Amino acid sequence: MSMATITTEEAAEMTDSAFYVYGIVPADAAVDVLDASDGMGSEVRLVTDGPVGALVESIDPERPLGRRRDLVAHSTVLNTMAAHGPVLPMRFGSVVAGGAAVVDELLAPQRDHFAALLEQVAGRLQFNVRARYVLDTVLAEIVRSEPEVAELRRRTADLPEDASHYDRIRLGELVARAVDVRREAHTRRLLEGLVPHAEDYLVREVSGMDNVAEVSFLVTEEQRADFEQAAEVLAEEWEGTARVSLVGPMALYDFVPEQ
Amino acid sequence: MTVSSHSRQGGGYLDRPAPSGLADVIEVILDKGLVIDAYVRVSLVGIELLTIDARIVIASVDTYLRFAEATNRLDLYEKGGKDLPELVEGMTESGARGKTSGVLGAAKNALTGDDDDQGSRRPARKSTSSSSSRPRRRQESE
Repeated sequence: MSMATITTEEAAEMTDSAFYVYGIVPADAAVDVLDASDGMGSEVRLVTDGPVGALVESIDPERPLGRRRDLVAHSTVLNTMAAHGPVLPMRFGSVVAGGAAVVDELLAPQRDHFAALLEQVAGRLQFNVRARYVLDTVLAEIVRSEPEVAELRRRTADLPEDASHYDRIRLGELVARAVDVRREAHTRRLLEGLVPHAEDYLVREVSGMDNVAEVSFLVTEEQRADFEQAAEVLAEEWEGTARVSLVGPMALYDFVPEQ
Repeated sequence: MTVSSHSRQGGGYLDRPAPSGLADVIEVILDKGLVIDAYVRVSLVGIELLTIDARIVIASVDTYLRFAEATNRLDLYEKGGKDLPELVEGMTESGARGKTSGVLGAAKNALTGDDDDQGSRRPARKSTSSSSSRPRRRQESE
């Protein structure tokens, strides 16, 4: 446990040259939930100004950010705080020059704005749902249900690749289309199952042959149990066809209110 | 909040990976969150943010050929292989593990340059796996 809350006056005397800013929280946030090992190497502190505070850590301005530990620290600090109260995540890599600037330039000018945003996000969490096909199972189903695919597969299976190039392209095209049809249907089903238990959602662009969908959900504390149950139901329904994973709860990375 | 591997809860069908696996962290946090006004920011030597270019797979000859290859590789009943229930069972166990996106694998290497991967829940990564797009480095200019 190495958490300190620093007042406006004390912040002005912090001579460290650079502060990494994780996010904005209420001034009375339960910061003792953080462990000493959660940060990037030194102590994570809370600098307050009136009703709001910034979660900061002194860092060496000469050291490039982007180590594994930096990324994990950003995520761990914000997710841990989000599990206990409202948090506005800053973008990864946000650094302020000096303790006085944390108050004078970051907190003070936007104090009311931050306080209003924190009220908006209170009691809300983000969950990310991702589904991936068990690809071989889906492909086998396509071969069985589409005679042209089965025929092209038979025709190309024992030929050298260059002797069957166009048949292979045709085969792949038919299979890709069939997967797309399934992907659209599965994505619809995912949204039908989960959107009723969320306040907002964001369908993210995905790539990869086996990807079904990746969706971020904004879920209130009241909705949480039903939401998690709905995800479990979906995972059971799709067993053998697609694997469903649920990451969270975490800070509202995808749902920070418009500024 | 630990870096342990995923755990199963409830009915056990749903994967609940810890959000501290590096691939998930990169995917979740990059380019998200409030941005400080430019004049407050210190420009750090060497700081570079990655944008993961996760475009939808574009229908292309290359994609088609990969689908064709995957389809031809299948060991179906018609060739005297396993029957369907066995097939499904075997794939449920081994099919989905280790198929992480090539985008994230590559971005991880580009970002950290280290292979200390103990927090990841998927130790085996195939660089030739499912993705056709590559990560793009971009200097953050705001």
